[in-house]
Parts: sequence; structure tokens; C-alpha cells
Amino acid sequence: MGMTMTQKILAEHAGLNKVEPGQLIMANVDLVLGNDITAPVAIREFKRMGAKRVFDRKKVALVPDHFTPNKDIKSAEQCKAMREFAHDMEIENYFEVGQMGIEHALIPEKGLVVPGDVVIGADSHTCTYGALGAFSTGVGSTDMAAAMATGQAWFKVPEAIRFVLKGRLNEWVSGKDVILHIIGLIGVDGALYQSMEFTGEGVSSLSMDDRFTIANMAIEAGAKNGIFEVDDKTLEYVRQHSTKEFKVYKADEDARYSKVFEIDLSSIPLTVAFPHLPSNVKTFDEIGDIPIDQQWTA
Amino acid sequence: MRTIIIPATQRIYLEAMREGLLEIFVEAGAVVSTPTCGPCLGGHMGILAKGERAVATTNRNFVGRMGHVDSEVYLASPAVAAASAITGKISSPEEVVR
Repeated sequence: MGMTMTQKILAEHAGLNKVEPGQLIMANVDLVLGNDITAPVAIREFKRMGAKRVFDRKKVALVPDHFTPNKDIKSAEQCKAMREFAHDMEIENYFEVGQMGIEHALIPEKGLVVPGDVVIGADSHTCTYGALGAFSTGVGSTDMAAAMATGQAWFKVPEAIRFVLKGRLNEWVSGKDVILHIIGLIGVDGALYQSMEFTGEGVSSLSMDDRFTIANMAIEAGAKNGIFEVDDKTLEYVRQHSTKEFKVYKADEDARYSKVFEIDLSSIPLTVAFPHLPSNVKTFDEIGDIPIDQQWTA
Repeated sequence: MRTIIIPATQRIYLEAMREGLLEIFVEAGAVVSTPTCGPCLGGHMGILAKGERAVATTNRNFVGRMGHVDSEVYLASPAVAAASAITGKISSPEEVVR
């Protein structure tokens, strides 16, 4: 039995020829990420472990993006703890106010993730980097602490659901509509602890922004990670943003999937998720008049 | 109607500035924020009061996610969010472009 993209990446990072769904492994990580909410907790645990140095000062990224410029004294103290740790450990990828951005947009832009990487971040939306064909997932602050010290993390190898995309999106329809449509289809626990693997000829018509948006919300379907097959657009993005070496993984022909969905991109309408779940989706023929007070776009 | 635009990174901020988008947004009555995750998790920069409704291009709309437990978050694409900012109700881009 073959392996999925995710399983192949995890096997190689664990130094194994083969892994099975459900197997517990220790894998080397290529990047450990934290923000101004989660990193201060991780730093405290790192020190409690007795760790003295991070495993690799180039493979830790710290982004103060949640409450900066500091919104109050507490956030100021948290950012200060992170800044001092970054300085003491000579962390190469610490992004001060003025350089920082929303972490999951900033990390790819800075070229810190490339295809085939294993990335963990103490933020649930770390799954975003699957758009680049990397295995990328959110963890707790203690996992972040241990990985900063050792360069490793343990995982339970996930099963996968395969989404075979075909066709092209209609005008105005974008990645957000695709992922809301899919979460509406499978539910907020529809991919619980599984990989959502996106393949098919339809992938090539999706922009990198579409793919980041789709992978970002894999966690909203309960997924361990979302991951896109690498194509020319991915490689172009990587060449423009990164000088890191990378390896492209493809699922085996006989990889096993718990489910396979065929999605025709041209059939996806503009989609809005109503309160209070990302799966509570409606299309414009069902929406009617809903006055709003604020709109917010990033 | 309050419209808050959050460029995700400094580079995107600069691109939007050079393309003239920021000028369009400000003249239309929107505010442009520093990059931040703040409002997405009800942290700062755009928290909702009781009974308020927001269209957001973020990824979570759980109870109280962006503010008061009796506020409401509707998740949508940037195109739908922009159209909704123009009309004041949840709107398709086709409604405003027509």
C-alpha cells in the first residue's frame, strides 16, 4: 500500500521508509513558529526544561502579530519576553513591529517554508503552508518549547481525504468560497485528524492566494493539515520568495484515502458562512437582506 | 458602516499603497490598519458590541469570536466583503458592479 503526500513527508522526516496511519513517530522539523500569545508560554516551558539554546537559530520564527503595536501592558510584557528571548538566542527570524505581518502571510512571503518541509507552529492556522506542498500543522506551546530545544516533534500519522479538483472558478469566486463550500459539504469535524489533500487538474487554475486561503481553513474542518500538490505555480512562488532547498513529494498511485471527493470548481458559487460555524454556509439565492455594522478584510 | 482594511504584511501594505488602493479606501471612508490578527480573535482593532454584525474575510465565526457573545460574524471572500461594505448588507460583487 502506497503513501499519501503527507505520509511520505512525515516518513522521510522520521528517517523511516514507510509509515502507516495511526503510527506514532518522532520527526525532524524544518521550522518552529510562535506568536506573541503562544511564544511567551513556550519560552517559559523551554527554560523550565533546562534548555539553554534553540536547536537551530535559523529554524525558529517568532512573529509578534496578535496584539502589536502593544495594545496594553500585558501584551507589552509578552512581546518584551519574546523580544529578549529572540535576542538571547540570536533567532534569525524574529520580526519586530515594522517588519512583522500576519504570521501565515509573512512566513511564506519571507520564503521560510518550501515544498516538503515539516513545520509546526503554536497557532492553529499554521496549516496554511500546506499550500506550498509542505506538511504544516498547529501545536500547543509546550510542543513548541520542546521542538525549539530538540528540533523534533511527535506525530500520529494521519489518514487522508483526497479532493480531486477539476474545472475553473467562475468570475468573483475565489479560494475562500472553495473552502467554505467544502466545509459546508463535510462539516467542521469532516476531516478530523486527517490530511486534506488537494490534487487534480483544477489546482493549476487556483492562484497561490487561493491555495493559502484554502489550506488556512483546513483546521476549520478539523483536519491535521491541508496540502496541495506542487505545480509550476508553486515552484514559481518558491523561486521568487526563497533560496532554501526543497523536495517535491507526490502521493503514490496506490495511496489509500478514507474518502475521495471530486469537486468541480465551476460549480462553486459565492459562499458565505453564517453565525456561528464555518460550516453554516449559504449562497446568495438563500441570503436575503442582512444589514451589517462592520466589515473587515485582510 | 465601518470598514477596516488590514494589509497582512508590510509588503502587501506597500503594494496597496503603490497601486493607489489605500487612497481609494480612505476616500471611501474605510480605515487602513497596521498588519494584525487582532480583531480575528476579538483581541483589538474592531471588536464587536452586543448585537452587532460583521462580514469578515477571516476564518472563524464562533460565538463571541470577534467580540460580544451576542455579536455575529459572517465569513466571506474579499470580493463579497468589499461589495457588502458598499451596500451595507451582505452583497454579491455582481450587485455593485452591474
